[in-house]
Order: sequence, then C-alpha cells, then structure tokens
Amino acid sequence: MVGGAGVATAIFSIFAFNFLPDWAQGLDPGTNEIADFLFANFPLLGLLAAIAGIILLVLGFSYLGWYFNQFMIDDEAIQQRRGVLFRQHLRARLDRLQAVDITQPLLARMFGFAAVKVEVAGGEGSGVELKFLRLGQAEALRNELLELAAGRKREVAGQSGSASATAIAGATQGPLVDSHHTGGDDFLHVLKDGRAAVAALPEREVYAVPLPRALQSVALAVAPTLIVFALIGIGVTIWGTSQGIDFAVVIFGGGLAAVLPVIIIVASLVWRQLTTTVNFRASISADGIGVRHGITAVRRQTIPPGRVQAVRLEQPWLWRLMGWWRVKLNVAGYQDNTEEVSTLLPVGDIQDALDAVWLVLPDFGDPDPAGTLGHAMTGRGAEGGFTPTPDRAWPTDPFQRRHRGVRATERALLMRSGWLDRRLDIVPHERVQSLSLSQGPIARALRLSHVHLHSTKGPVVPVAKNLDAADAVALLEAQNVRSLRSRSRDTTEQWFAKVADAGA
Amino acid sequence: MVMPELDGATWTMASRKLIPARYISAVILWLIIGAGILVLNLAVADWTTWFWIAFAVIVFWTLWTPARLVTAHGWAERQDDLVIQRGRMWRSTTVVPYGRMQYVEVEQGPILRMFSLSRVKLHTASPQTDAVISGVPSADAERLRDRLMSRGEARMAGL
Repeated sequence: MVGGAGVATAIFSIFAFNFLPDWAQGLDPGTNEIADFLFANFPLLGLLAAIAGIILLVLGFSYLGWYFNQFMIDDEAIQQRRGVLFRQHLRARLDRLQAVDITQPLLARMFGFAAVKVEVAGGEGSGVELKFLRLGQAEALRNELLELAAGRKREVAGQSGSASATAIAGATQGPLVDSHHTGGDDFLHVLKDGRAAVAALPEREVYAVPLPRALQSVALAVAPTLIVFALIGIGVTIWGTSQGIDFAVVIFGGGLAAVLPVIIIVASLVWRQLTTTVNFRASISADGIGVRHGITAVRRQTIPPGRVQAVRLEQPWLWRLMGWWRVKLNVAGYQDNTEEVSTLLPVGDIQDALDAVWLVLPDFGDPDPAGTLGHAMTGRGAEGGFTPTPDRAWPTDPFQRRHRGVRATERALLMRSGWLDRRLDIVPHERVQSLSLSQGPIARALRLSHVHLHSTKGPVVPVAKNLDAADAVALLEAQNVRSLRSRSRDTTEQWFAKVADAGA
Repeated sequence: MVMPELDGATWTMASRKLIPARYISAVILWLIIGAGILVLNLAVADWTTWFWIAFAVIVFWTLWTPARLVTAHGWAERQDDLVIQRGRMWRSTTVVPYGRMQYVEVEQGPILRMFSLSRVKLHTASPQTDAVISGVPSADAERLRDRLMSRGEARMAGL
C-alpha cells in the first residue's frame, strides 16, 4: 500500500496523458453506445470513471503486492517471498545480521505503518525489507530479531508475562502475526502462537537535539557556501550593470539561469542536513545505540558498537562560534545510503561530542581521554604528542598543513586535518582492514608520504597526508603491528556492561 | 633498490612476461584510438591535429611505462600479512593482513592467458583496499591463492 504510491503516480500520469483529454471531451470512439452517449453528454462522468478506474487499479496492484509479500522467521533466518510476476525468495541468515532499522516514509507515517529493514553481511542488495507492518508490530519485530540475532533464548508463551513487565511504551504485547494472513501454510504464519513479542530492552536517553539548535546549526553550516555564492552573484550583477546591460536583464536573465542550479544544490544540502538533525535523539540499550531522526520520514536505527569501524569528529567553520561538533561513523554492514545512516551526533557541544565518542569507544586506551581528544580536536602542529606534517609541505598543502597530525593511543589512531573546517578521524586499531603508503612525484621531491587506513564503506576515509617519508614508513609498520595485536583481544562483546557500569 | 625495505619482507617480483603482455594491450589501444581519430578526420573534420598530438602522448607513455612499472611491481609474503608494492612515479605499498582477507580472486584475460599469467586480487571488507598483484605465473597464482586462504582462515578475525 505504501510502496504502491510510486506505481500509482506512474499509472496516473500515463492515464492522464493518454486517455483523459479524449474522455473528458467525450470523443472516445468506444463501441459501447451507452458509454458514448454518457461521455458525450456528461464529460465529467468520464473523468470520474477514469479516476475510479485508476483507484481500483492502484488498489488491485497494491493488494497483489501486499498479498505476495510474505515473510517468515525461524531460528536461523528471515525468509521473504515477494514479487507478483518476478518472484523472489530471499533468505537472510540471522547470524550474519548487521543492523535492523525501522523506517517510515511520509505516507506510511500518516497511516501509522512502518517497514523493518534488515541488513546482513554480504554486499549490496542482500538485505530484506519487511513492509506493510503496523508501527507497533514493526518495533516488536525489530526487538525480536535483535534478540534472536544476539543468540539469546526466546521467551516462550508461558513466560511472556514477565517479558512484557519490562516492556516500554510502543511495543505490542502478545503473539505477533505476519502483516496479513491468518490462514494457510506455515510460511504465511510468522511468529504465531508460542512466540511472544520480545519486549524492547530498557533504553536510556543520552542526548537529543533541541529544534532551535538544529536549525541554527544547519544555518551556520551552510552559511559560508551561501555567502560565497551570494558574493559571486553580486559580483556578476555589478559587472553586468557596469557593462551597460539593464539591471533587470542581468538579474532575471543570465543571473537567475546560472544561479538556479546552485540554489537547487544548496537546497538539497540543507534538506539533507535538516533530515539528519531535526528530531534527533540517541539512547542506549543492551542492543546498542538507538538513533532516531527525520522530518517527513522517520528512521530509527540501532548501531551495534561492535560494528563501528571508524569515527569522525568534524566542525564546520562557523560552528567554532558556538563550539559545536558533529560525529559521524562508519558502520559495517550498511551498503546503501551510508551518508544517511552514519550520523551519531548531528550537532552538540564538546561534551556531547566526547560522550558520543565514548559511547562507541568506551575504552579509549588513554588515561585522559577528554584532554587528549581536546588537543586532537583543536590543537595544531606537534601539540599533544602528535606527529605533525613538516613545513616543507607548503607547496602542495598550503592550508591544512599546520593542522595535520597523527597520534596513536593504546586503542586507536587519531588523525587530525582541516583548516577552516576541522576534522578528527579515529580508527580503533583492531578495525583497520588494510593499510597503504603512497607517494607521488611531487611528494617524493619533498620527502613526504601519505598513509591510508582502509575502513569499511562510509563517510570516514581515514588518511594521514603529507607525513615525513620516514615517519610514514614507521607509522605504517607500527600501525600494522598495533592492529594485529588488538585484533587478538577484541572486547566489544562486553560493550554494554562497560557503558552501563560507567554510566550508572 | 626499487622495493622498500620492510621488516621480514622477501620480495617476489612480477613476471617479466608481463612486459610483452602490456605492449600487446598497448598496441590494441593504439589501433582503437587511431582508427577512431582517422574516421573522425575523414568523416567530419580537419581539426584533429590536437587529437593526434594526444595520441602521440599516449603512444609515448605506453611505450615508456610497461618495463618501468613491471620491474617495480612485486609482493612479499610476511608472517602475518601480504605486502604489495607498485608504481615508480606514483608509488604505493599496500599491507593486507591475512586475517582481514574476505576472499582472494584469481583472474586471467585473453592476453594474460597467452603468456600464462594471472592476476591475483585480495578483497577485504573495505572498498578502498586496492590489493592487486598483476603478472603472477598461472601455476604459482593458484598456489598463492590457496596459501593465502589457508593463512587467512587460521588468522580470521571478526570485522
């Protein structure tokens, strides 16, 4: 019903373009005389008939799509059958499960529906989307999946009472059925009797972004871009009028035509930032970090800390005025729209940012994590034990040179860069996939090299540019050894215990 | 010495047979581009001079680089990782820990097959990992893959 919106629009457009004009004018050369007569005398009737037909068609399509969309959950996997003409049978193994998100596009949100999106390891298009669920069902399903994936014992029907005692608002209680059927073969009967909905684990809110701050942060983040474009626009206008071209012509002719694409780009930028910032809320539970955000479409996702591969702290230029920071993540398992799902903190003061980092990296391996991060975020040069970029890098790196630096703590590598915008990338040692060292001809002449840490797909691409060549080789070797050692003592499984202890 | 000095690295150089293989691909490239420009010249325009200059640059580049690149390309199997060295003007050294390899791919196009060479590609969970060894003798390539895979399984770590 929800996914049918696109289909409905397409069909409606086709109808509107091909048939409506004829019918509306009563010129349809149909064989049915009564219809001819009616359409000829009552043009509006044709229009109504067409609309009714379209609605029926849409309903029919939606019904078929819904009817053929079935899913089943057993102890090992989620199976989904879908498609009317081209039938698909997907099977996502629960032990490969990476993330379970709840999404609500605008239309679905209006009618209280939601979809559960399940991401599994194994590349693009391997995820399963369970649509046509009531919001409550979706939440209960998500909890159940997370529970199953965590390999915990499911609650049997008899004990569901105790489970629901810990339930928080929103989770439906009692047995779940699939989105539609109540009869037929086993495949259609998902989660039937004997399997109680698993209550959501108790959550604790960590931070929320207030609306004024959200709006202000987006404004400050895009302001420099806007000002640059505005100056260009003013410059063009002044030049144009000085050439004797009429003011109005400059503005509405050349100016607007050139500016329109820019406006569209900036608008989409603003929109993207707004959707991740407005209504943002983060909380922790035993499953991981729950994050929700969105304006028209709401997205609720759980980030399991064990899947966090890299963290980026960034500060757009004007945010310095307010001391705000943003935190982004690379999370393993998300193949599509990583940009949208990767924000851990869209805007917050330095304490919020430190909290956010602490959430995903509770053990920073440094006696004074706040102090170290403070240096790492705003320091320059060799301050705070960083290995800086030598000054001779100025021909190729005039602006960021003084702010670049690398430092390893016990558990992670910190990489600082940026000039007006500040950036700090943090990669836990055990999360490094592979490493490389690179050097072009100019860098060689300047005896400089770049060290790249390869992380999973996401917004964080950690690289330490323009290090002294000898420092770079040393870093490559040392980081490789650190990563090897850390991999053998990976402790993210005990994440919740750590966070809960420290947070209590 | 072209290859960097790293702890415990014994370098295996890419097969020199890769040089003629590269030249054959280069000649095919010249023929395609040359024919394209020629057709353009005959069919529409007499402004193809710049195209021919660009063509000459490509010819020069593809004549000059293969021998230099192949002799600077090699790999080293160390205790816990594989190191790949490539490039002369733009150099890169890639370190792939065995425990991070998701799978190893051995591939061979028609030209490489003529010289019984293969290309071995290592995949990790990162799309940035650019770990390709070109010019491995085919017989060795299979053995290299099996060796890498068994080491990978022994050291496999979670993501």
